[in-house]
Amino acid sequence: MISFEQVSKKYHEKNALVNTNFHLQRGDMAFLTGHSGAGKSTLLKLIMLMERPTSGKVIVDRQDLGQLNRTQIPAHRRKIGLVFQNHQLLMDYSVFNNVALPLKISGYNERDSGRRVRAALDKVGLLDKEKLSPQVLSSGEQQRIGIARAIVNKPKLILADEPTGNLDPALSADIMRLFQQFNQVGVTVLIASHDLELIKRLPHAVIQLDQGRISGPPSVMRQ
Amino acid sequence: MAFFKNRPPRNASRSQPESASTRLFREHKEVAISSWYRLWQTPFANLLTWLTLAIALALPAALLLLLSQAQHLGQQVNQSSHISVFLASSIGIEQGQVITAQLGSRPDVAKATYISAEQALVNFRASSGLEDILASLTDNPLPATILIEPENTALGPKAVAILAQQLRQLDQIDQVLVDMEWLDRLQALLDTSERFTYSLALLLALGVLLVVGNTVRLQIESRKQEILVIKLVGGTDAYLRRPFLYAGFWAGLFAAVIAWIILQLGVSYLHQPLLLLAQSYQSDWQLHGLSWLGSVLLVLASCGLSVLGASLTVGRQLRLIEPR
Repeated sequence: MISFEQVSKKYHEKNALVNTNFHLQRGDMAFLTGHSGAGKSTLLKLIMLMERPTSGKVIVDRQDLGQLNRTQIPAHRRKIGLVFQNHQLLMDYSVFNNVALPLKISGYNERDSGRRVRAALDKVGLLDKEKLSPQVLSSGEQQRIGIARAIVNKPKLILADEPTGNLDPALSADIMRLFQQFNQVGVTVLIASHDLELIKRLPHAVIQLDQGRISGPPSVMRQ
Repeated sequence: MAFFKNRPPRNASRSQPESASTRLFREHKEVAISSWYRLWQTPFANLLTWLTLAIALALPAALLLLLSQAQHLGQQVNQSSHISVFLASSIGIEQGQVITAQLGSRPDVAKATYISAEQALVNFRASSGLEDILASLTDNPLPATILIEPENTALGPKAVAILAQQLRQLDQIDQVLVDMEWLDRLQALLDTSERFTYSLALLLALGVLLVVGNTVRLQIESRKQEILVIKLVGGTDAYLRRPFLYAGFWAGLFAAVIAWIILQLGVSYLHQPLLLLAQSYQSDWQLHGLSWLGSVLLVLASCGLSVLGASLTVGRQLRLIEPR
């Protein structure tokens, strides 16, 4: 699903990623760990085409991202469900409209969109909050709204950037269980997290980044 | 787009698949409606913008309106211009009447009226108030006159000039007077006003573009977060542009309506004094408000300029907002 081949990224002569290689098979779930500044965000940004690599090749869903031009970026991003640490919800939208945003962009009509939004909210257990503003929800609930928005499009790939960063351990475990559920129905999941305690308890591959290089054991990159 | 190929088949019995044009129409309708509602979230700020645009539109529109109708007046005056033909002093009354009849039968003359020297003196005495001086004269210094009203022709002043030239060649005629200079001056004045109005219209159109552009820039700035999220979940440039173009369209529409009201108020305010002015020149000319066609043109120009102003800004501004 995701392939990095000799990928490097430099910001003003500072190396963010150095000759990175890894593969994530379709249907896999993996964690991306490392200290802050180790290159986790950069790696996710390269997958989202928020950044371009300085050298090397990034392949997502059999598509070499280097071949996509500016106008093809939106279609690429629509294939990926993205979850943020600060959830990036729009506070002047209702919960329903926040979740419906990716569908609206893809041109769904109201009936299809409503059905899918409610299915996604049901999955994260917040079906009864659809009319509220995200502002009145707790941070755990806000994060689940962000997840509902990421899955409403039924993407084949979910990327999450520190999704449990602001949450207590119980809530974090809940969120991880959600990701595991999506993974069980065949969605590829890549989660950047420095919550090592939580990661250790979960049976998923770990990609460890250290100063822009992958330093984890080779078993991590299982095929 | 790969995304749509991945979309699972829908329940065909419940919803018919949409054609691309139906979908585009629906999307535009949705954006038009949502941008309409957004207008009323900041009504005061929007009203100020619309008033600014309306004034920028009303000014050149009023001048164009006045100009087009003044040109009409100019043609009217042109066509009703008289030629005064002064007969030689040797011509008697009977002979003068014969010449008048001859001139009246020409195809390019609508009407020829004979005024004898005596009649001219009586008229002059009555209008000038110089009775005492005139009474002391032994001879009548005034010649007999024929007043000629030229036939209305499409040629206008040119035809009048040719007629006057031909009349000058006649032996019995001493002098021919046409008030061409006044007409020339009016025409020159109208030409100058026309160019002035067009230059002003051009500058104010540029003003409309800048005002709308700046308004859209501020709107984009205030919706930065929303734009970032839409970009991250895969919104296209066209999708992001659309609400701002519609905002421009609505601004243009409201500005046109306000400009139209300003124009009609202005016309009704000027109507009375202009009527008196025209009457003092023996004209039945009146200032009319915008016609249907004029109103439609005003709306088209306003909406067109506003959408253009928005689209010139929106692409550049949206490119400045990229998720990092």
